[in-house]
Amino acid sequence: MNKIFSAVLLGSALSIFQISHIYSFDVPSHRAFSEKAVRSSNLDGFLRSELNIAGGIDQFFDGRRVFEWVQEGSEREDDSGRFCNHFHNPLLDWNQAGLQIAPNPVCPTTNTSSVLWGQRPDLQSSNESEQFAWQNARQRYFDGLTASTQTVRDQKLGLTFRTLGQVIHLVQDAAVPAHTRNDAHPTFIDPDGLEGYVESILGTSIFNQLTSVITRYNSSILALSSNSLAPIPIAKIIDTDQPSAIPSAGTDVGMAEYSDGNLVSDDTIFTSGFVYPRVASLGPSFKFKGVTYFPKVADGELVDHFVAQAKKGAYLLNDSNSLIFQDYSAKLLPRAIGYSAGLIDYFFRGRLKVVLSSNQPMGNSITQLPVKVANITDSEESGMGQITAVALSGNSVLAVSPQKEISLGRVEQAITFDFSLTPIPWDTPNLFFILAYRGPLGLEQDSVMVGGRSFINDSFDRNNSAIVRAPTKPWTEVEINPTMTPTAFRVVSNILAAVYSINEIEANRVHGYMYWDPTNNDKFSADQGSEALSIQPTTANASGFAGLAVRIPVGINNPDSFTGICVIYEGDYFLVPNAGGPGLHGERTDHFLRIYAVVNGALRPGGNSVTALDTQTGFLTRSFAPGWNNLYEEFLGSFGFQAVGDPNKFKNKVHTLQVVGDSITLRIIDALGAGNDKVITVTSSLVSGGQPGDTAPGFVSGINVDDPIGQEIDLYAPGIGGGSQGGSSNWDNWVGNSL
Amino acid sequence: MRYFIKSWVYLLFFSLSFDPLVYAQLGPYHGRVIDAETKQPIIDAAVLAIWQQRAPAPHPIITYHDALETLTDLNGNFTIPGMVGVPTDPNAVIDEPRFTIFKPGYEAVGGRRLKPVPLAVQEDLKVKDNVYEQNGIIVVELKRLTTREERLSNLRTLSSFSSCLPAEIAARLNSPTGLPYCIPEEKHLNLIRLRDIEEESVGLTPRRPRNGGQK
Repeated sequence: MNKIFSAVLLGSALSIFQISHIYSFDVPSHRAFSEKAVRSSNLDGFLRSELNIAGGIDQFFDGRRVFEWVQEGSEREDDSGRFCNHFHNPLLDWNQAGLQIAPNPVCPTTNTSSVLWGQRPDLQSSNESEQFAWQNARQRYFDGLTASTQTVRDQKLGLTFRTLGQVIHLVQDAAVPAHTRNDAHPTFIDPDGLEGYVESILGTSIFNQLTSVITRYNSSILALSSNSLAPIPIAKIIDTDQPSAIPSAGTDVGMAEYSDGNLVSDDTIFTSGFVYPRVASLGPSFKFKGVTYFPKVADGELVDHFVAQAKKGAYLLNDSNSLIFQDYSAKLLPRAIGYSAGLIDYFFRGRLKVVLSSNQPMGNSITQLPVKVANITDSEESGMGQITAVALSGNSVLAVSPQKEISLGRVEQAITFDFSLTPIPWDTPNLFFILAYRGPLGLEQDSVMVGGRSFINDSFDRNNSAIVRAPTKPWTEVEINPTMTPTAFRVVSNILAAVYSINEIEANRVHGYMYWDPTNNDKFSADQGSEALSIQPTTANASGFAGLAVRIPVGINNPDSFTGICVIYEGDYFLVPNAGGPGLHGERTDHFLRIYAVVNGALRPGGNSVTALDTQTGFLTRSFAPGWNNLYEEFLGSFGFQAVGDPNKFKNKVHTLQVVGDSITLRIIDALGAGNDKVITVTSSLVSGGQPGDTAPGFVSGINVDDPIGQEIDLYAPGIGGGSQGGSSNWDNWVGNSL
Repeated sequence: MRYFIKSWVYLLFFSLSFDPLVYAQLGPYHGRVIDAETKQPIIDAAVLAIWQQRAPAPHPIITYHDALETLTDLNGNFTIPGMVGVPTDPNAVIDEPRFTIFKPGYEAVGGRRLKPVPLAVQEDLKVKDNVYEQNGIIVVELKRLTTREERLSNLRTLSSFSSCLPAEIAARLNSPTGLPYCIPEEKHLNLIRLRDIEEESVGLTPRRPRNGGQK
């Protein structure tokens, strides 16, 4: 007996030694979930618009791209020993909800709940470099944003994304019933069938099908009262800690509550300790391909193949057809990904409105940055915290201002940041400021909010400038300098970008129109009824207009040095009512908003007249190779542009401007989304009173847009004494409308 | 009682040793990569097989074991020799390999097992698997991608495994190279080369100067 006991002890000791040397290579499932979660989140647009990170989730930081860092984190969270803390039984108090297991060589018999693990760095390690909790992500994020060197910035931001990946790993594990029903599942002895099934379909079209639509949690769960053991609201993504009579199949429950209450694991099929699911939840059995299945027809989520009949009246999950795990996967995977995406979005939710003050000093360099700042985060209040301004050129750090105390609220307040130690030249290319606030936000006591702001640094009159912020969500604002002249205001207000995807089959494009229709409830309208009469086809596309290019209107300050944007849409287009053709616009110009090609002056041989612009966009004689990418590249290149970022950001988006007093709101609407909606509501008068024949100043503005969605659009208002595009044209008539 | 039994099962299990070769003889793998639409062979597609070893724990521990790579020939055929190796952990077994198959412009196979999903599942979901067996050969159909968005998204699916970081970064991040969680660069040079070409062609910032992978 002693020999046996000794052998067991020796074996255990050896195993401990061996396993402690293993660095876990996470089940590839986590990498797949995380990649999809990042893609489903708003992170890409956020990085572009608020942090001026042009590559978005594909930006390269410290050896990996952003999404790869998140994947890395979700993989490394299973590193040696950490996995013991990835269990959470929502039916228990949180300090007892972790894995409870028989003595074994790997995990303690009692382990920390994943809910606590994710926000208790002290439980993870005393060494900060081995901590990957929410607070560590926050710290690394703020450190990265405010780093004074590029190297540190890249390293900290990379580590931020990795840490976030480690946190979302916990959400993903909570989607596995074995993890929420205290069912340890060691390989060989007792592997978890569901995890095995998911691994078996990874990379297949089946997996892509099952995860093509994700399920997000109802964000209201984040506002539920806190549990002092894990007070940061992300706990609710796993467990809302709310009493529930029966399990919910809705999105108002945490991931663990859902998987625990609605589904079972291999070893917890109708076992004691779990009231639900129960035998009474089952419907009548049915046979399919030699297997007797039972559906779940009550008590929350309904499942077609819930359990199968085993011998001696028992049940099993691992049926020979794999239909049970397929059904489980169909329920759980969309949530695992959607809830992970929600956590990422929650991390980056804090937004600041930043307005450059009008009294900016106009010396050779910027030494003081006066701004107005306010919290514009949805439904969450901020308070006393620290704020810092960081100057970037593109994504490269130029200077960091000293931190300031601020009591931040909804009302804009003035604050000036000091850059006197490292003055910033006016002519810095792609000058961009990030304001980073650290302090309370909603229920999170130590949060981070940011606001990005580009800085106009060209020859345009800075006092007559406006900036459009265009994140991925259909909502943003145009900020207008209070001192902007009425003319400038009109020009800016008349700029609209309509962006659609392009029809890849149709290789050639013509321009199209959008008009604001006061007879149709003040909506922008689109039509294609008489397009053939109003717009000349391209030479290679004379038979149809399935593919069109619509381009944003800009004026040309200097015909030889203009910048601009193409706006492209697919398969449909906007039309001018009663239009007579290019250059012969019979439209009622007082309510017409035209979308034009931006043409380099040098490539516009017809001069500056509108008629010439209409017919000499470069498109009428240009043919493009099929394929979106080629078209896009060639299109931009033909006008001297460089394609930057992802042209698909242009797809399926419509930008509209809303004018209210001194502000304009730009909405971006998914025009090819549900209902294929191409009608954009405008709630105030965009333009009015203008008449054909008006002789207002022409477009002397330019647009400098690399990535209109997800990155700032700089709208340049007319400079004083700038050029004109031809004041007698219809184009200019419209521009001259008074507000 | 169940708790007691499990405890003894754990202890007994860990006290036993396995003959890893029993589990490690996996392969060889023969296959053919074709265009999903034209059914024509796809030449010079990178085919990477990654073997992982799986050790027992309350949650399975999976580590990198080895990887082999090749390119498809003129007929789209490839052969990956069988893996014969011993797990570094005597308690672990070597899993069936996961395959990543990539040719720029085509939808990648990202880290999947090279066997078809059960037919019952395909029928139930009404989704056809792009890997199937035909006359004893595994056929992999790759769909041609047409838009930049598709190609960009496709590139992200190539990250189904972790490619090792440069040593200096790995050391700083407390993940020394040599520890088996990532795939060493020299094990997938062709895939890296093709990925870099594709990344460049869709306008992504290059991550490194190109270096050639050899068949």
